[in-house]
Amino acid sequence: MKHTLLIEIGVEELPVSFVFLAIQEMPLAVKEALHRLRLDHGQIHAMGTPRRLAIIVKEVAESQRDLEEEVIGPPKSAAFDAKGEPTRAAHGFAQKHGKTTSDLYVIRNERGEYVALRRVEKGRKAIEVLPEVVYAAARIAFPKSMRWSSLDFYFGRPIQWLVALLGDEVIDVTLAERKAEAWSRGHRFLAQDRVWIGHAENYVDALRRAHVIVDVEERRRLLKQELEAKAQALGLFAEEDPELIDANVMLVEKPHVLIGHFDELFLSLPEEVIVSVMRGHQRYIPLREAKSGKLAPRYAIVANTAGDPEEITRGNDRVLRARLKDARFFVEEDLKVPLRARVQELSGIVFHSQLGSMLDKVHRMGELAQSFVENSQVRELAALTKVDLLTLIVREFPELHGVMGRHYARAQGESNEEAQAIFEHCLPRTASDLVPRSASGAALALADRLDTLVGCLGIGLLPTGSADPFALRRAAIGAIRIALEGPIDWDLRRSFDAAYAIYSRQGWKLDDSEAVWKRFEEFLRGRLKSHLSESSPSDIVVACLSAWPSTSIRDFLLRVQALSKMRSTGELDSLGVVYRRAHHIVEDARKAFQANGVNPALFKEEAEWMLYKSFADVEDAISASLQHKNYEEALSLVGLKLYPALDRFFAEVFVMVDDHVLRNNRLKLLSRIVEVLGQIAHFHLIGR
Amino acid sequence: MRVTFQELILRLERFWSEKGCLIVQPYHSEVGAGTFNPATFLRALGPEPWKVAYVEPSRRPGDGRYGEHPNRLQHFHQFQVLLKPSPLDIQDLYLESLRAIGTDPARHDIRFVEDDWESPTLGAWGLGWQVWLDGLEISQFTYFQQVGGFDCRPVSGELTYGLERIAMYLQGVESVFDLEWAEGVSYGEIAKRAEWEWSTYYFERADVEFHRNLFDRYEEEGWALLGIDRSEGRSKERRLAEPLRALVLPAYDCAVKCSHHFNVLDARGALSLTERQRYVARVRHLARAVCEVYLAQREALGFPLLHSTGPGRG
Repeated sequence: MKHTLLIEIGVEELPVSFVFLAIQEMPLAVKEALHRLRLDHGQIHAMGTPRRLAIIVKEVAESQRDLEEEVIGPPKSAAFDAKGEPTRAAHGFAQKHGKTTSDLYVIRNERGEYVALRRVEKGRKAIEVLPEVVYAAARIAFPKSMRWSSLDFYFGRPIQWLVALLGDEVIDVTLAERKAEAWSRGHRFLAQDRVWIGHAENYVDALRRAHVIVDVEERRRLLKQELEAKAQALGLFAEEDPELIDANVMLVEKPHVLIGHFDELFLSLPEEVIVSVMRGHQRYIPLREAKSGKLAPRYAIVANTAGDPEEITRGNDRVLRARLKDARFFVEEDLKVPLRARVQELSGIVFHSQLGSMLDKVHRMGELAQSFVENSQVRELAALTKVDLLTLIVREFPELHGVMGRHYARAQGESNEEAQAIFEHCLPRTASDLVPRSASGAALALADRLDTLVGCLGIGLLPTGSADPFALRRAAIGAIRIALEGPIDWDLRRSFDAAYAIYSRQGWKLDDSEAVWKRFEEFLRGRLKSHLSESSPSDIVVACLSAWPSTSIRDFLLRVQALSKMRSTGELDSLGVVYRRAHHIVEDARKAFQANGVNPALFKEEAEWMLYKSFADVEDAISASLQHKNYEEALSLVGLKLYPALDRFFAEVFVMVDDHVLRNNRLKLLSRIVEVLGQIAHFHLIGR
Repeated sequence: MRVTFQELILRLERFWSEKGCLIVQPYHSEVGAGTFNPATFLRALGPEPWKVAYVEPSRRPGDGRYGEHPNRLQHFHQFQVLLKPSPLDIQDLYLESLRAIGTDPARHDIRFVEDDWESPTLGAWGLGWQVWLDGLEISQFTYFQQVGGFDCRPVSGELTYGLERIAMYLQGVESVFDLEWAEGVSYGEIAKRAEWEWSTYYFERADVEFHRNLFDRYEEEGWALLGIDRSEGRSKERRLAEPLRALVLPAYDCAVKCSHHFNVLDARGALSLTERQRYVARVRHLARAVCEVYLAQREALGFPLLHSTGPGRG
């Protein structure tokens, strides 16, 4: 007989992220525990709301599997005497495991011969060992755990009840002084306090009747359906915003969507401000006009209860009104002092104690940005990029940094291009965000990121594991994307030198420049690899990265593109094979010959001649491509001429002949080809 | 019946009194929140049980808006409840108190939304929620984990009701100044002029040197009263030879004063960011030392509340 297992941990309201985390971690922990306990089982499904974490395991075996194991005893020499009779040691060993010496047999392992026996441990009933699984389920590593009352138990929030059922049988287990029962609790306000579960299979339905949708996906579906229906009825729609939907899904036990309203006068605020006000504090869902896409003076509330919808909506409207008034107050106050007049105040914001204030940073940014763009104003503009950090509205909503800089700049008469560049210096803010389009914006964005990278790496602040407090990974990806997708390419080494020199001129002490360069180069190469590998085959990325001399980012991209194109015709992989062979031979013989001076007079075979000639034909094209970045052209020539010759060479010529003069000449030829072609990419890494 | 501001206070006091709390009176020094009242801050330390409720008039100089903002005030009122150890049904008690003040939780959308609390000046932190009533934050709910850098054992549950907000909600008014304090008397009549005067004071007139000076003096006095040389810092090995000779409560008052003068300087815009952090650290440093001596004192006294019963205790 197999039974369904249910564990429900009833809690006081858990933070949104904790529920998501628990739903991810609990199944792993439970699976691991079941495995450890030798309990066969079927599917595991985790569910949760703010007030409960639940896990259902299908088809849990009624008993543990028997444990059959081999126990190794004393060495054979100690277990049997000269006559081959078991010794006292052998008797002792057998007895200890409830066996006789006739059960012993000899095994041989790396240390020699030993006696061993087979032991079978009878599986216990599942219901007796399942408490272990309950403990495992409750051992979630929340980012912050707490204690409560006089208990010495840690959890995300206080535990209020526990349901633990195997089929209809209650598991005898206690968690934080709460003994498991067959009773759960329903919706805090809409249901009777206690809800009879009785059988694990009844769980989801029993809760549904008690106004709780415990399955996260079901709750999300309901929420989205209701949201869409209610918005549509008013000619509105909600933009895709998975993060906001998730937050709302995890703030209710059952979603009830209500539509609220605010005064159109507030629409004179920048849309981003209104959206931040709604999303940030209140988790309201902004609604837009279906026709124009413009923000509507309406929004959706996801309530946890049907209660009195009008009263609830009225209350929320009042809250939003007050918040919008606050935001308007902030914006009006902010506008009283021009951004330009506040630049000096940036000295009050610390960038990093070893790297100076924001004022120092914008000065550095301005100088660095000038190396990316021919625009004398970019320096002055740099100073304005960070001033909005001082404004009330950005202090309240940090995500509006840049957006408000642009808004205030425009309102204060800066030109449109300048205002746009101020905004664009923030881009890209996320992986899906756009990169700057204007040259000034891109130059500032690059300068900002490279300044942060060189500075932080320069004082040894490298990200470790998941910890990246200065968001260096994001800065690096941003800088790379600006080169790949935006208007400005940059050169790894030259930009590093420029940024480093600016720090020095400002008087900040970074580590030795070559040491910092090494960190910087390695870090950027790592990011470049992971970023390009998202869209290109990773062997191509690695082959190009390995040959790329840490110069222009776009140069690197062009190499990857050229190789990718070559792959589509199948030529790349064939070339990879012969190149690898050549590379291998050359590497092996590296010390035995000098690379220079192939002597055609020494050629014996036609295939040698052919290779020599076709290489001569493409060599210049390859060298020129490194200059002009037309890798595609050069590689198509390689495919057309060099590859067939190389292929034939290997088919017909034996390199490692005894005649060392002949051998060295052949090695020299191959070595030259490997070296020259290897300047574009390390083709031997293709297909690896 | 319309619940006036003072009726709201009376109802909460009656409710929590019936639940076994001592009803004490507001603290007499400027505090930014009810947590600063020693009836919470110090009593949350150590093993002794404690149940208390009180109104705390709270000052947040930086929140002043000259009486022109409908709900931001530099001086407002919290209703503070501290239950130690936190009862296992503390959420139910809280919801029951909402019924007592005339709100039916079943008709409204009440939510407990993650909101962890940390006071850098007090070296204290806890986990909990802000409570939403139809989207309006009406209370803070915190399980104290540490106070003054010391683990809270047992854990106290702290409930803080935002009285003005709740009253505005109950009375359905849009501006705090339109609240009815008592029948026929508006909140504006009592507080509006004060908001203007204090806002003007904090933002424009407060004498920076005067407040810096007071901060320094209170800080010095605080350490002297504890009998600790502050340069010793906080060391676990520090021996407190005679904790009962130290004047913990006056020393704590000094820390509270420091915190207030820091708030004034901050509102006045007199502190750079780094300076600000240094001031915060100085207050925390003193507050921690107070906690340490307070704990030693209670221990020397044999934690007397462990052995008594009655309102406020077990």
